Amino acid sequence: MAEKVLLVDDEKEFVEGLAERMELRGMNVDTCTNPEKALDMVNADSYDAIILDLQMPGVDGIEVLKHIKKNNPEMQVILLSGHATVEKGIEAMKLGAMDFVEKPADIDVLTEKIKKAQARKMILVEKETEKKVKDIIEHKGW
Amino acid sequence: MGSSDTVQGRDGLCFFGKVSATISHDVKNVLAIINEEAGLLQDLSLMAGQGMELDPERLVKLAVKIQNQVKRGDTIIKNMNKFAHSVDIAKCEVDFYDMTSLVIALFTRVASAKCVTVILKEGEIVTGKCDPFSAEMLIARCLEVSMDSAGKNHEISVEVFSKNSERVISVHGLRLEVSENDLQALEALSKNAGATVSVVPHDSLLEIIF
Repeated sequence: MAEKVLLVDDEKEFVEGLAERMELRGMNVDTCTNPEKALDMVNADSYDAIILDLQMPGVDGIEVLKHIKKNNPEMQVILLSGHATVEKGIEAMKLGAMDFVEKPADIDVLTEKIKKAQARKMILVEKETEKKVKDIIEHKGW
Repeated sequence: MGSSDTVQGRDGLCFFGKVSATISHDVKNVLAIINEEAGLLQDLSLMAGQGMELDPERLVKLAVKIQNQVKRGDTIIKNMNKFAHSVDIAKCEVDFYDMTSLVIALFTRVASAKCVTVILKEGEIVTGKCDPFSAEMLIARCLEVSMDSAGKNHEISVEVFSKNSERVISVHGLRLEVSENDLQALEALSKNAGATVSVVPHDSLLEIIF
């Protein structure tokens, strides 16, 4: 199944170039250059992975990550940064980011991480479904 | 040593570090775009090798995008070089318009992060003697304070001109009050740079006078 990816970065040309390469690799990619709009997209749609730039105008990527994880804990976020500090990386992982990739990104490495994200999300969704089914069975007393 | 011994050690170093980090981030972004465009050329070439038709127009567009990023990177590096050399001489003749333009360019990312637009009004050459590094540090801090005062999604405009024997850099567009801490920091920096800074709240104005 094609991985559904949301790519968020304020550098329009970067987003366009990377999105096209990901699509050539069979992925289904949405792009966004505005972090606030990206939050609406995350709430409105389901993605296997979100590739998120750490430093964007107006909003810190860490803040966007917090919002995403608060409302959609199963979402797999891969952070992208021009100059990642160790502190930022640790903070992001503690907040639930799946991984951290430094720019310029290697497309093969990124593709691998997106595939892992999709697999991880499927497991989480399956677990959640199983829990819901269990709850229904217990509460309905069948 | 050059001018760095006239600026209070660690503060000057911090300023240098901040500008360097911003530049490295900008360069990384340029490289990231070139990486994707070059990668796309590689992908298209591989597909052409497998028989897919290749549109020459597409290749031209990609080449132009790469060239534009090279130009962007070159401007960033030129600015970095100019800034790095500002510590060479403790006191020399400078063009304040050129210097202000450089600091605004170096702080484009900072302005963008704060969602503030900085406009430098067209002006003439305004020359005078100063310590370039200390002056750049003062202009940068004044710009940051003005951006914070203007607030998100607002604009500040900068003008450089001569008035009698003084060289003035004025920043318009301040909205919120400048804190006492910021004023004290500006005062300390202005002493190092041999200048004075005044904030005129009812005119939404900050002025640096050399």
